[in-house]
Amino acid sequence: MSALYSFAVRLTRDPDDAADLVQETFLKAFRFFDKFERGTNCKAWLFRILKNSYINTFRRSSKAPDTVEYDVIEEFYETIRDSSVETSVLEEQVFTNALDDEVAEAIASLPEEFRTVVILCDIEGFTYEEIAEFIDCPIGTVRSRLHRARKLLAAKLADYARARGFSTGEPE
Amino acid sequence: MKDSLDSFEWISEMLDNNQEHLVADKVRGDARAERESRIIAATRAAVRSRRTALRMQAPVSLERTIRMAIAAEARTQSGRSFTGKLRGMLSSFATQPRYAAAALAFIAVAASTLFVLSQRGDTLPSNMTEAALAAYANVSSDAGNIDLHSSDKNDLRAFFANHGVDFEVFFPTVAAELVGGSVRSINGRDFPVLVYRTAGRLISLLEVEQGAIDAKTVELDRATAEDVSNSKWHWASSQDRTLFVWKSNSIMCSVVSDLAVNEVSALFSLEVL
Repeated sequence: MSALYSFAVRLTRDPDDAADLVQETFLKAFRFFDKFERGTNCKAWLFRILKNSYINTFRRSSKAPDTVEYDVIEEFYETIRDSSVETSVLEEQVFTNALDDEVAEAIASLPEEFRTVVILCDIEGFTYEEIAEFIDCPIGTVRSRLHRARKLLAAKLADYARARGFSTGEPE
Repeated sequence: MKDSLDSFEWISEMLDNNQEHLVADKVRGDARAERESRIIAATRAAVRSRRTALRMQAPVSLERTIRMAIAAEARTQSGRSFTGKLRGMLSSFATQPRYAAAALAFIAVAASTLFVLSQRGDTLPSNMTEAALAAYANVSSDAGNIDLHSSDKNDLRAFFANHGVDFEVFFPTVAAELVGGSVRSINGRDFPVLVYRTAGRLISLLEVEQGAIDAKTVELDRATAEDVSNSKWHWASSQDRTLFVWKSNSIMCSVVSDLAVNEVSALFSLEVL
């Protein structure tokens, strides 16, 4: 349950909404358990219900209108590719020294589609195939979103590092 | 632009497939690719090394809230169909050990609604076998729903006494580590569940006092009752669950584990014999 709740918090950015979302997920799972295919991944099934419930219920509310504007993202991506993550030295050290809160904030700042794949892959440990099943899109899309999400995270973490006085090798 | 943006996606994918050495080979001599792989690897590691911190624990009250909601849902169904549904859930994961842990987490919540309903005086059957299976599902779920983590029998005795268990809890001699206990309610009466671990596997022991069976607070299958009476013990197993029941003085003990029957019976044989 905590994995679902954790995912829900990251999606909704609100603990109360997350609790409601998890409750709705379990109720739907209970109600439609006869539709669960034997031999398939129950955890994946629950995550898919949660994600769909979020899309159908919570994202409609005014609290979290959150869609990816790909043009904006690509523009930003291009910007960070050229400048802010010119980390020519010791990224490992810089990112290792990041604070837990900074990593959490960086993830929270990602657009929803990117946030989702990072959480599912890097925090919850799902495979690309499982994630593709959850979010109902091709594996290629998962791969693409995950890579871009990591680039965005790298830019954020580099910003935090610079703010704390770490050098990321970026030209002054 | 899209092509150039996507050109290094293979780095993420190879890292996620544990092919770091292949990435290193492939980027060697290409400064841009080397830099990209360093950044992606470092970012990925920054998140993954904080998995525990980044995962959020569900509030303790959430599971209870969900149980109540499912109970309300279940009340719209007859007791028989609800029990049937629960059995269907249990059998659906029993044949798929690969996915058992996740299914257990869900079923633990659904199954425990039996207790919620029972507490509310519903007419649903409170079968000891189902209660024992649900107790095991609960304590072995992802969340590890053990009310008190302790190997101290005195602590556990005090805990059970303070949480409504009105009989002397029996601690059998078991070749396994006592790790804690939980309280389960059946038809408004509280019963102890002891939790043991051996070789990384959990074992739950639900204790039901004979008086609760005599008073029909807890139902006992005829087959189980006859086996215990005639052979001192009763066992049943599905593909990945073993149920082992015996009686010690006035306490009916129901052990559930994913250990094999012979392993469970070996652990508890001294008590049975």
